[in-house]
Amino acid sequence: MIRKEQERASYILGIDTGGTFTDCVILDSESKEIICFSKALTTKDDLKIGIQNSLYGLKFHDFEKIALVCLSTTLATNAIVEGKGHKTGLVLMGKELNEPLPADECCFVKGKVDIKGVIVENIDQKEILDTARYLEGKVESIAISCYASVRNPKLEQAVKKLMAKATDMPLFCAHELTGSLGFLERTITSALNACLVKIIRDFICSTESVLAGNQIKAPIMVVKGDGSLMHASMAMERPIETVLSGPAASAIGARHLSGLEDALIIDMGGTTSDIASLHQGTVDICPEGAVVGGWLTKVKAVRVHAYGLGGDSLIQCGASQALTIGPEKAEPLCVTSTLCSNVMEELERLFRSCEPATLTSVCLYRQGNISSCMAFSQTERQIFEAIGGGALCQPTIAGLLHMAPDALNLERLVKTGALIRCSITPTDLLHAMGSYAAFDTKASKKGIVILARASGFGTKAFLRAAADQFWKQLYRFCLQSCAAFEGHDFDLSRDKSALYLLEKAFSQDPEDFLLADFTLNRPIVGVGAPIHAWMPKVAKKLHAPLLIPKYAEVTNAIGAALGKITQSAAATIRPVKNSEEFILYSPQETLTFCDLDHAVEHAKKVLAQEVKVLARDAGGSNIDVTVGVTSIYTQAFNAKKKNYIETKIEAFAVALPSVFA
Amino acid sequence: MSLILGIDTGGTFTDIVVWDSAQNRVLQKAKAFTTPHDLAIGIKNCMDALDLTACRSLSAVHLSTTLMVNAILEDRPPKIGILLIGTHLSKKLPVAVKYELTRYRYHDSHKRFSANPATSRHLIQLFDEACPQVLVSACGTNYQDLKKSATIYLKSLLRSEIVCCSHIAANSDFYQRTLNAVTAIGAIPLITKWTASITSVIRKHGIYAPIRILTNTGSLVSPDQAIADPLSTIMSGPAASFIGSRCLTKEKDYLLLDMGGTSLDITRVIERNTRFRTIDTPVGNYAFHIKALDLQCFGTGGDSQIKLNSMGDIVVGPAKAVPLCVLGSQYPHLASELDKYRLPEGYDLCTATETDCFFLHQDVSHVTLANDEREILQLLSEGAHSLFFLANYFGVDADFLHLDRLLKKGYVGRACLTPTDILHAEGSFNRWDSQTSTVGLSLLASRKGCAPAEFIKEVKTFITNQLSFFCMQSIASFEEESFRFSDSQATMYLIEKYLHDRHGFVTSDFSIQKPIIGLGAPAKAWLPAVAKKLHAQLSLPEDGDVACAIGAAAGREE
Repeated sequence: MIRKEQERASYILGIDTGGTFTDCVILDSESKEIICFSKALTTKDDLKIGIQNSLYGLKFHDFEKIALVCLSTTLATNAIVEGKGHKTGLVLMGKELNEPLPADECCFVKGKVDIKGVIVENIDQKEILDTARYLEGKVESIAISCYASVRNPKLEQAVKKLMAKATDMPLFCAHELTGSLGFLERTITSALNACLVKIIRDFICSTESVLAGNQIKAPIMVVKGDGSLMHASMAMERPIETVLSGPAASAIGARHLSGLEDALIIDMGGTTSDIASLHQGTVDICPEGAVVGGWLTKVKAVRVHAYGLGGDSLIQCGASQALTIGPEKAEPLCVTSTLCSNVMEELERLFRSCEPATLTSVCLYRQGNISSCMAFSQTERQIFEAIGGGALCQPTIAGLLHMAPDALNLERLVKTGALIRCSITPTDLLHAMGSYAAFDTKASKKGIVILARASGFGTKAFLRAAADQFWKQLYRFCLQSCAAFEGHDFDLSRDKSALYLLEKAFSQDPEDFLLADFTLNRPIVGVGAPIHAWMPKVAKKLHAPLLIPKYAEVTNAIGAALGKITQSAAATIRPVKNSEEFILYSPQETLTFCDLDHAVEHAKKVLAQEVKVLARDAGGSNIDVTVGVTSIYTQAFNAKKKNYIETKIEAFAVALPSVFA
Repeated sequence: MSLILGIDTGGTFTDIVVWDSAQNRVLQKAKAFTTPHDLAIGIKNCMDALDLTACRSLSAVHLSTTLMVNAILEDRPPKIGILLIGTHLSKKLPVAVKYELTRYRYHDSHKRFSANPATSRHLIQLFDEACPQVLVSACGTNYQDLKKSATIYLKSLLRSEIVCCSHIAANSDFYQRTLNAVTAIGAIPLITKWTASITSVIRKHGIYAPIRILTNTGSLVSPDQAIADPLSTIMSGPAASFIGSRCLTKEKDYLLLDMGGTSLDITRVIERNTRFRTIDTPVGNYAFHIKALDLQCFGTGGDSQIKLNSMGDIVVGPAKAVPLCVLGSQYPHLASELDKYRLPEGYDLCTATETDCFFLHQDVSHVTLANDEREILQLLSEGAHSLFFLANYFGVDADFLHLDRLLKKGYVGRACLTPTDILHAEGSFNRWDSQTSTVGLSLLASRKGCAPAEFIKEVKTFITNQLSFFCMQSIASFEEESFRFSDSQATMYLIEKYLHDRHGFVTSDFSIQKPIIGLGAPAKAWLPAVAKKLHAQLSLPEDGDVACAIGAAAGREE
């Protein structure tokens, strides 16, 4: 009996490709029990190596019993945030946009649809073909966006068809990505989608080839920003949907591992710490669309607050011993030292040569990869060549090029990823303090000695001050995200008087006249690699219970493997002006009712049916539908009355991938 | 034995103590209402309450007062005129008439002042009737000659007393110099009258000890010195309160809260000392560049107005009014009038509050008024009336009664529900007429739709929260100087989590880790809840009600 069950057993493979690590986890598809997991460094030049290393690290042999592979990744989010997406052309119709857009080339062409969906002006075929030829070679993908295209997509479709004749570049229409009104947000979404396409296609193809090489033939699904799954083929067409899939997967994983219904989930990674809120068992979603890298998109995603503080945040020490950590990132020196053999030697040279007072950070640079499309200057290419296979500090590079160190500008090379900046990071602090020893501790210590001396600290005092600074920033961030979840958009770090109160609360000095104390009224679930080292002290200061579940370091991959298929649909009921009637606007129809209750009942029935069909079409089975109703009133001027505004009805379907049906 | 008589003339009360400076203790104390129209009456009432047999051996009489500060706060400019030469001043000055002669420029400095006949006529018209005193002030030291000649010219032209600005204050900033000079001129008669009243009363009691006045920095000067530099004593009240607190507690570090009718004054004391700083000390609408006690002043006191805002929430202060109970004790008909004439059903008040009552503030026989204004004043001259009585009497909506100008000019005063009334209504304090307070309370409670007891509770919570907030803000200001919590959305979020919202993602808690010393009449009623809210140790010293008089007595000559 047992043996038979074992034979029937099937597994899910979850893979999370983050900015620093690639994690793999194998789950039992029935019990969701974690069988094994592994972690390997992400290899940005060739993702396949990292994925293969991680798969190998699983030491798992029944690859043929894997029934489903689920992927989550922060590649899309990071590319947008760091501005490292590919060059994008944007073809606009109907209305010019004056706002900044995430595209390298914008072309406005003839063609116009009015808000009712009537074509007012047709396209000019020659103009379209000329535009396609103009963009050829300048960009790598093209987004097409027309005003009111969700009311009538014909013009966008026609342009796409025409352009396909003139170019091989990937082409995307805005109406394919979102069905809701909002020309600007829809345009931004389509442009970002275009700039991510190569990154996500490369990621999925790399994964597919590694999986094939390991005899894994299961279907591949990708986590979306709201935590649900989509087929890999769909992800290649809609890469923007994978934005925030990392935090979404981590929130789902954390919920599963903690078993909690209400909590704050903090995922501390290399680049950022992300906080999501778990409320009554569900992860909060941004109803108005996710904001990524400052762009407001139409992507449905978890409401997550990201803060540039993680294991790989750059530590700097400015004038009068003012320490800052992040938001810029750097590769930890201890990690660099395992990749380049000359790190200790170079640090020693920096130690001997530098003028202590002028140094605000300890940075080495090593080669990344020069993207084919990027135009670098002669000097920049020389710098790249000069660095070769080692990791060099600025004075050394300048010496090789016979330049003054101050004349050397490495910013652009670092920003485009051609050079990787390596410096002191929180990961190095942990190595130097002896609480973590995965990489080269000697390099961490050496770097810290240099910066401590330069800023007039003793080494021990520097470590204490830097750790304190990390805790303070994390403490502030926890409070900041709580305020954000309650709908406030102020920035605590820019507010002198708020910082004053936070300092009182953090330092708890018994000699102070005023003492402040903040309590977080939710348990915290902490996941991610550095969480053990940093979160306990902050949770204690916030008087919040902290749960760091087993497998916390691979929560993302677990969350990916637990993904489900979800679909949603919404309708609105509004009162008719100067009448007792109500109008129901649903995706299929617009109906008038004499009675609000009848309208609500009808909407609930129709929407439930709608989402069930959608979920089945998406490949789901065991479909579970819930319908929510919210009525909105405003406070009347006379304090006791309320004005009815509208009722919103939303239906959600949750289903399992049908592989398991 | 060295006995000192300490006299503090406050806005509401005059306090006197007999202070044993050798043993640092109060031998006798007395309290009476301050009588602004004739200060001697209040002082006499107070003196009469003391047993004077002990006072024969008094070595000195020390005085402190808030009279000058109150005069500035009430912002009814004294009858002073000002002639400004060479520049235009946009900032406000507490004068009755201002005339600017801007035609003189820098290179005119050697010139003598001259005026054509038209200007002379104009100057006579402006100043001669309205201003017994005219100040001449010129921008920059190079105008000395011009200023002197202008002074001489005006002396020959006008009947008013002409004062040359540099005779009084030598300060660098032109506005500050002029403001200080104007204030000083306004303060001199106050100080003269006040010291004369005191002298006359104590002489009658056979006291001939020397009189000394407490300065802004806690030292003592003679009345002549005070008149020579009036600004040096305008903040003598807060200095007295600080020195008094030091006599009443053994604590080294503490927060001193002095709660009066109009404001809560907070001082931080470290190692039994506090800062005296030369900064722009804000008093009412003006900022004086003087050396004074580092003090944070907040507009909530026993006489703050209690109102409901448009959302129906209780708001207390910062505007002041006479408590209903005080007006009610003078006009017993008010309670039944308030009860009888009520807010009409369905009528929303825009600016007024239903507990508003009005009374005649000063003699207005000489001023020009609109007819309807004159009618209102006529009616009020026979006694105070409530808002709805007036609306009913004149047959207009309450919002259309033309009272604004009368209130602004200070002809008419307003009474309404205040924290002092709340204490009367709940029975914890009964110096004045509780009946009027109770009726006022029931009016606001019924608009809010709650029982009077509930309303009292809400007002108390509001005041406790507000005073706690002031304590926190004052500490931040003492430590960091430049920010106000209420300017920051983020800070108010963090504090809101402490005061009201206890159910969100975050709650906060604030404590004051040093003891709070509470002084002033309303301190006993309001500060225990504040101390509890801030987890602070509170002490209300036994003689805290006469702390300023003690402080004056304990002041030392430099």
